[in-house]
Amino acid sequence: MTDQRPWGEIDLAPGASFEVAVGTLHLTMRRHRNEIWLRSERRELADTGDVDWERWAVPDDARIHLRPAAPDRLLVVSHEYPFHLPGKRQARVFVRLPLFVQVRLSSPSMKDVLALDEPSLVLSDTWWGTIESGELAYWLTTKARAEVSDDLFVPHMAICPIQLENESDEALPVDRFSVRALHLSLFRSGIRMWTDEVRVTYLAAAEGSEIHFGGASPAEQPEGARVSEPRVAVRRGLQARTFDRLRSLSVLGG
Amino acid sequence: MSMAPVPVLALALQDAETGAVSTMLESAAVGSTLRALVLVLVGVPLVLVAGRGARAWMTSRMHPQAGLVAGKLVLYGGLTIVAVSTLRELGFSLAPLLGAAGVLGIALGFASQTSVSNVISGLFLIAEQPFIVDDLIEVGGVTGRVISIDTLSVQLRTFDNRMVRIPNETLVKSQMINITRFPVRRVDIRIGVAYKEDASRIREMLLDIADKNPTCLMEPAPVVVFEGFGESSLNFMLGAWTTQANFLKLKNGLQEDVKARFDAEGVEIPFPHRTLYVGTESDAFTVRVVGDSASPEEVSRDPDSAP
Repeated sequence: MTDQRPWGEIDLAPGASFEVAVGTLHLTMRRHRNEIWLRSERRELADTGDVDWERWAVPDDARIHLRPAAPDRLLVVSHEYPFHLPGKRQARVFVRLPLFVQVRLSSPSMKDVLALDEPSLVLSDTWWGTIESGELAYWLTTKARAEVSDDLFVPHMAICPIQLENESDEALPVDRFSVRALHLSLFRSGIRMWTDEVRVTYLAAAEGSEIHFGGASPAEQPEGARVSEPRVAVRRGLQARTFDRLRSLSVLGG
Repeated sequence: MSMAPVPVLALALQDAETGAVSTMLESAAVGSTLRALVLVLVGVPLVLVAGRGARAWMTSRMHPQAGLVAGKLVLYGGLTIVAVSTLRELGFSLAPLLGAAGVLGIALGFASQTSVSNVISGLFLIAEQPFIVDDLIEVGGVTGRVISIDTLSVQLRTFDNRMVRIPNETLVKSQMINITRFPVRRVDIRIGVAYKEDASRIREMLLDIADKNPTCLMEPAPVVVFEGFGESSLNFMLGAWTTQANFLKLKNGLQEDVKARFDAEGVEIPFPHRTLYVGTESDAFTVRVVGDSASPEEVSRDPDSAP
């Protein structure tokens, strides 16, 4: 059978199979005696070839959970309509980010196992920082927006509200910026998936930005139930480059 | 006569004192030797353990290079302290020893200029840090990963798993390329296409190929350079950025993608062409076909109509 409601526990009887599509990730699961077999394929790729099963030897009572998770790297996103944020002003933007799909196996007689952790869409790599130092990031093709509409909610995407505060005296160009997805929690209300609010306070070009994670369902959906903890928790927020980008590397890296 | 017992007593006392002194001296010597032995037996293993500990501690907190340097500092410093303490315990005065070491040092210095040069070069390498342990470097046509930076030489492990020892002096004197110093790297692919092809179409095609490769970074953006008019082809360079870890994957992937895409879109990758003329610019070279099945006639081909 094929199920489009992706998240939750999967009841898989011995000998049965289960298929689910999350974004362009197609998962198949089977239970064979005391083994669970997993297989993931990419439907947007023309020729994926033969895909091997990944086999997990688990107790007979092992349960399968399909859980959403925030991306495992920094995200680089462009705004739909780039603008300048004057000094001492605030703006709220919304970023739609693709979720990762986690398959967890659990049993009273076994420590929980993360059997699969893959993005629901194929994500392109990019670099955030300078050519001498920086970090590997995902490039989001979806643009940041000023408003959220119902058509943005799909099962494999979450909306991340970002409160931008320009504490400096200079105008801040909001064109391309980074989202530290590793520290995001996920909240669900019906089919709507949200992350906690990210508050980015821009101090000055030399000082970078202060980033704080709300840790609760955002104001747009206060009743959202927590469905995923951050991959890396931060207690007091952090300070990092959020608005810089590689302007000098567009030609030959000189 | 009254004085006679005195020398006897004096002699007896003297013998007794000499014996006692001798015994004391012997026991003192044994004590010193024992203490020196204990110093060596306890000190050397302790220094070895401390050196390893310092290396592990610094490696876990900083990087392998810092661990290596810290480990060696502790090891050599500790061994020097143990050696000096042992010699003092054995009753050697360090002043004449240092004097003799100075003279010996001059003699050894002349005799081992290369080694001294390597030691000093090693210190420069450690201070300047043009590379650290685990970096991938290229020196004199040899490419390998740095596995250790020692007092006299640097050891590399090549890709085919051979160990290459390069003297420190050579590294200081010659050009060295550190391939992995920066986290991202550009893959350059040089491609020639036939003169009949549309240059702007080729540029768009190459950029599209780079965009579709998942290991190619979106930023820094890939670039296509029209390098010029070759003997047989229009020459392009596709430069695409990737992480150090994905360098080979992208290089292989891009070349395969380019070949497949050009084949699919009918883009010709030409092999070198030569057109031979004799006498004038317009008349082509006369070709005589010789063979069992060929008629013995002269064939003059116009190069523009050649298949």
